[in-house]
Amino acid sequence: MAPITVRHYIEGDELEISRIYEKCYSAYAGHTPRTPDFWKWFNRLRPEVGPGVLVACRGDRLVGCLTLAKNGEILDPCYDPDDDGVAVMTSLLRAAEKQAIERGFDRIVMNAPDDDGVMKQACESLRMGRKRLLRTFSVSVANASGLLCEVLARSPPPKGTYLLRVLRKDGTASAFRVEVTEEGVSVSEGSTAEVVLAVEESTLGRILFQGGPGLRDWILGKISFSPAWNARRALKLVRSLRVRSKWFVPRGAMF
Amino acid sequence: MVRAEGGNVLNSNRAGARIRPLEGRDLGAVAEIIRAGYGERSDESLEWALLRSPVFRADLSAVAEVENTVVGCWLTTLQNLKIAPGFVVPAASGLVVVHPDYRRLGIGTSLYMWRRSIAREGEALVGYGVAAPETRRFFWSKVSGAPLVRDCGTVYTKLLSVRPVERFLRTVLPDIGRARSGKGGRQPLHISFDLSGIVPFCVQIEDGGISICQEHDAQIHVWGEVRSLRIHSLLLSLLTMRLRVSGKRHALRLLPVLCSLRKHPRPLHA
Repeated sequence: MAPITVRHYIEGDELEISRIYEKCYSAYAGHTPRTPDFWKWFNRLRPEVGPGVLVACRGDRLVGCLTLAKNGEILDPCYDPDDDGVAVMTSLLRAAEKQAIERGFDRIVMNAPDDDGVMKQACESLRMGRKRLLRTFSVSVANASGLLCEVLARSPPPKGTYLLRVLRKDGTASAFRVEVTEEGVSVSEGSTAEVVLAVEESTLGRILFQGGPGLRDWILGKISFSPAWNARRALKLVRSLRVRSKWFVPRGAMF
Repeated sequence: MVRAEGGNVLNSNRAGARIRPLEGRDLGAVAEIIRAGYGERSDESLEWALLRSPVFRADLSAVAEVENTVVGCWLTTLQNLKIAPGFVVPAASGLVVVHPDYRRLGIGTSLYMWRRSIAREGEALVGYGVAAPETRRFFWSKVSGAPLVRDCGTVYTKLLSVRPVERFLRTVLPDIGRARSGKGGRQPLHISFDLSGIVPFCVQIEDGGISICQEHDAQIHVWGEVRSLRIHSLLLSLLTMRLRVSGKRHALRLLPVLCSLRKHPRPLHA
């Protein structure tokens, strides 16, 4: 296997870099695609980057990349998962550290998903300190039917028909009829079903993205179901609505 | 309460701010508000973020005006966003900034309601953590009713020079040298640290004060992993054997130094 070399970005690299970036991060919720144009604007045209885009190659093949921006911030680190990721990231970070010292930065900082063992190993090999990132995002989806369909298709509740009534703050409501059959899950507008689950919009958001409703939601009546003897199926529907993907948004992704 | 009037949108907020779509003439004022809200940023950098961005949408952005002065803005970027496996939606990410003098008057809420009123079918509205945590919680979680999602990111960092360490130690240990000389003629104490995330450094505590250098012979050597240079973090690392100390006969002399570290409100993260 050819050794890894690290060089500066040259025009046209963005095609391959954006492909590697997608392979590295597309599994996470919160992912926004890095098209070659977007990558170039985000990393190359950023005023404070200068010569900071470093590219790792194995022979002729591009296998990783990172951008060293102002104050030692490392943006969009990525490696080809089909290659030796630890070796690629270690080479890139070592080169970034060297460049940061030359440019007079006091520190280097990067963020990576906490379950990415490759990034963790590479950073530990360079004796970088590790700290949990306390960052939150707020997400609301204007029309949830598409999302409901996708989520329920992945973890369907027991067969039958369900009516999900979503109550908005302004007093309006929308109703989704979920039909689960052997063929799959379908979501449509409707008014009758075997199990009716009424839920406030904010509580639905909590179910989807925060792992479920809180005790407070049940006590305050922000979520309720009928008929009472179908409680088990209603609770299974609530459990099926959870989006289980981890969220990760890279550093510097917002303005 | 949002209502349209002659192409503009009025909203009830305690400042009486008028919400209207962003126009080209507003960019200067918007730049000033971003600077007031988030600190100094060069014109070049703002031009990159707003005018040259392939995802910034001026037509979906708005400003809040009080007596013809722009006091807040909602800047939208529109991108595809993955929010569940196999489910990608067009997402409008909003950067909402209100001038510090006009905060807590409902202007952010008015901007949010304006943006929400023009959201398209199936579109997701995403807010990033861009303000103080309590403001963010209030604004997004209570006003918008949208849930907060935790990022699974981890920060990796490494200090490449002793300058930040020196600044930090000078604030937490300003008088330690004088206090020692007051008690009369103790020997200088040299402690070397080799911790993860920080370049190796040596703290020299002498009668005249403290000094920090990159390498030096020391009576006490401290090495290993530590989350931050604070007393509880150091003790935790010591107890879990992630941090080692040699020269233990001098260890008692280390205690006043360690105790000083707890006084600093903002720790230097390793």
